[in-house]
Amino acid sequence: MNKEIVLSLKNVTKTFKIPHERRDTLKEHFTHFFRRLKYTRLDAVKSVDIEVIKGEFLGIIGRNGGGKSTLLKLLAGIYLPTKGKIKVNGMISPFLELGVGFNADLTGKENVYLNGTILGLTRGEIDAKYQDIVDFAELHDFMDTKIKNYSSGMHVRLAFSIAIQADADIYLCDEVLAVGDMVFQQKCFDVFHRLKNEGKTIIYVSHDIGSVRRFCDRCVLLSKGEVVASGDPGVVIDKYIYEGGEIAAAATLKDEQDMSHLSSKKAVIEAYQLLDKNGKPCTNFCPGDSLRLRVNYRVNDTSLKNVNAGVAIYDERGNHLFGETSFWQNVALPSPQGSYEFEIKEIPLLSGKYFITIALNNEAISEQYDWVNKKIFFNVENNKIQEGIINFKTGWKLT
Amino acid sequence: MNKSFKQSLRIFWEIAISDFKLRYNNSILGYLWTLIKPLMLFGILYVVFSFFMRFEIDNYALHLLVGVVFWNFFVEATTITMHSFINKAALITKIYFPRHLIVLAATMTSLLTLLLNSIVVFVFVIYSAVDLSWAILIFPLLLIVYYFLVLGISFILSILYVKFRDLQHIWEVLLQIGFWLTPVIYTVSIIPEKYRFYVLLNPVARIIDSFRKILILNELPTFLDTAILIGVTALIFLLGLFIFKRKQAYIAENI
Repeated sequence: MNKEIVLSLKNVTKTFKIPHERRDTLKEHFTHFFRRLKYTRLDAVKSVDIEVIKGEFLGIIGRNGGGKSTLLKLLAGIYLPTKGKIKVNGMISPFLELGVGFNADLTGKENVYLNGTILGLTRGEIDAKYQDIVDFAELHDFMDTKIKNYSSGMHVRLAFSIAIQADADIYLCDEVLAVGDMVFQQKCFDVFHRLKNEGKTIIYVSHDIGSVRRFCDRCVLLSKGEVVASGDPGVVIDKYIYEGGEIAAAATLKDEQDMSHLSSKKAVIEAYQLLDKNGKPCTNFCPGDSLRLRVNYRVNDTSLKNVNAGVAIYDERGNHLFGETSFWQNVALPSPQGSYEFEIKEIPLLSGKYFITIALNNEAISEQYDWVNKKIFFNVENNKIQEGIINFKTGWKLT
Repeated sequence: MNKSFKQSLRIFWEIAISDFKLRYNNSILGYLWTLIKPLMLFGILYVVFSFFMRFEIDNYALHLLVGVVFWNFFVEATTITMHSFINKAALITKIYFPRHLIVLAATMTSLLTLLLNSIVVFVFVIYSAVDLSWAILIFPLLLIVYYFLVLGISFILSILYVKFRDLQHIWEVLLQIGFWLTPVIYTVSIIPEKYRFYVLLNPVARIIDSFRKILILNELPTFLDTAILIGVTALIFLLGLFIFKRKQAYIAENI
């Protein structure tokens, strides 16, 4: 296998100085001349080492503010690194955020020529590829319309169509699929396949874990500007889902009502926590993994010998997906206090946001002692390529 | 020609063309404005200084026209170029290409305007029955020197404007002052001898004076004058280039 390195970053750091009070005018510079500007130094990208081999499809993932876009801008040469070296071996076609940098007052056609030229095409080459570009973008009727009258989807379609026509060795893609509809996304995926087969190198930044999983040979996880994981996409994505994120704040369903006034408080829920398969507090899970809900309780009414715990799971729209009580499973919570764990052994969901209700009540569920209504939130992010909502256990074989 | 130079040339050309298209975007008279604007200024100044206040200058109309046309180029080119990075922010923050191409392209539309206006000047010169002499042959040379002077100043203005937005107002004021301190509506010959040296410190004054000499007075600028002009221009141009080279990598993040 050809192991030619086309892109190498060595100890690359990009520091932005963010003034506390921005001075844009000379007057401000003069009047505050002797007062030193207070800066916050922000290392948007910190000591990053990455080597990309020719023909590789590298995914870059990370939470917002992780430094993904800054990294791409460094690769594209738009920013200069504060420290470190970037070596690029080949022609780069950047496709960053919305649009390749269209001029709003020029027509679609004029922008194709302007951007095509900047991406390294000659006029003749653009003439030859013009029809392909228009076909791909599906903008036949809009090429003589000014870009300012384009919708954001049209904008992205045209930009993507031009970017892929540039005969580059390395393609930089930042959130390409964020705006396009399903049909256009599929077309983009087809292009990725084609480019990959042609041995092009692609650096792909996305929040869409599914597509990263589907295309990338290798994946880099950025967090606060640093590379925290790199390698097999499955492993890196797993890390991203379980360790990258902070514990989501108490997100609640909009129509959730506070039911605590209906509770008699004879027994109360004191604390609750979601734990992942490694026993760490977590709100993001992968399908098929385990989820444990640990609850601490106290029984106030000494006449109660034991208490029944209930749990219910809802989806984002409030559909009741599941309900169970501990008594049904022959578990009774002993008095006066203690803790229990409710475990979903294999999460049977694919992706989405879910809410859990927990309650303490009597055996017949006729009296409510305490009730935490849909306040516990968790997120399922699929790390495989599947569609739908239910994680069926499936298998395929040739017969 | 090597490949990257050709590529730069193509980008330069495309940006210049789109700048030119955008310049009179949505206007009815469009490119006619490039002729109308200086001619209107010329017309009003001519009325004021030929009928209300009189300068004792032969061929005053021609002197005024040359002054207005060439001063106008300076004002237009520097002002447009100063804003060029901000106007092209969308492009600059999305894609890398040599940044100086934007400055070059921005000055190009003004240069084209100047060339169109020069035709008008020549028509007037011939119409006024001034005999053109061989001195006219250094017209292109003067034009090149003038262009480099404007380019040097534009490099400085464009790069500073990214960070200091006050510059547009400062520059506006300086141009106002420049209009009166440069022999645009008057000629060097009517300036009292003892002040001439100071007025001619301004390279634009020297250039306009030289253009008048070859177009109207049929004389060549002296060798010393030309040498000083070229020297000052080279100095300003190199200073502009130096500042530009140092700061150009940070345009995208400061914009």
